[in-house]
Amino acid sequence: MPKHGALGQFEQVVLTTIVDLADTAYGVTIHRAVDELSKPRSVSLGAVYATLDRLEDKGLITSWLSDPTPERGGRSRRYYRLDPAGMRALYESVRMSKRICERLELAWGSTIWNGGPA
Amino acid sequence: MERGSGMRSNPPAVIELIVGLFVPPLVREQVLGDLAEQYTSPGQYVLDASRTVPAIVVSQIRRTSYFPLWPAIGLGLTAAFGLGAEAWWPRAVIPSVITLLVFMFRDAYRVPDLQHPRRKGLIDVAIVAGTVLASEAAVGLCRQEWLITSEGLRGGALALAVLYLLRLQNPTGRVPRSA
Repeated sequence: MPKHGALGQFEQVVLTTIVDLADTAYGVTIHRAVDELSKPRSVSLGAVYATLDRLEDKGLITSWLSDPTPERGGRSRRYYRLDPAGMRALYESVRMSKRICERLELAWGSTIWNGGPA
Repeated sequence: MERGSGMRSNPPAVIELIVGLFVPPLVREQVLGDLAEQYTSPGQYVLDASRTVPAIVVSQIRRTSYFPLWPAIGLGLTAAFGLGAEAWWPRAVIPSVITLLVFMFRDAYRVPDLQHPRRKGLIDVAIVAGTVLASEAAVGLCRQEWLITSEGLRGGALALAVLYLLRLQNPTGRVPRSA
């Protein structure tokens, strides 16, 4: 069991988004992508920041400030990337999700991918 | 128009200044930048800020307040402020809770000053002492019997001195990662 414990679903979504965005992962882009992944639920920018802070405190991600940009009123962006521990945690979490899906597929059949059980 | 595309305008400086006052300094740069990047209208900006800032403040409090120590500190403060009082409730509890809350918000909003930690610590304690005295003035207007005794004031001053020394041990004000 990893030292940081299991990831929550929202943490998993945020980490996935950072991997997906690669070099363009900062507050606004992460928020947009997380909001898209979490549909129909709406996600606030504040919830994304709080999760990023928590993931950074767990040592799963690293952040750094960019140079100021004019479209942000001359302010910097804080970019994020996964640390090796974050990669491992996400990998373990996704494997567990896959096992859950496989069990449910056995129980519910292919309906799991077509709107779920009645 | 999709947010962040096409012609871009910046939020009004006054609104941005007010929002900036509520955002902890350590994260102000990126938060105001992100909010500015998503700006479409003053109403939308205020709504976004009102949904974003409270979560950021709570997150900073979580990062800077070491809650496992709170019961011990709270008990110590209550004992100190309650000195010389036969009935210490709520006489000693009010200044103790105020002390903990002011330190909590002060930590969330402070910028670590590693060059002058003693001065910064003294300012923190002075702000707490001032707030406690102001709250005592307010309490005195309502319930004279809830005021701290003179022994309690001395005990409280001693407790704040101990807290000052404790806080010097962690000048960054960050909760350790393993905590």
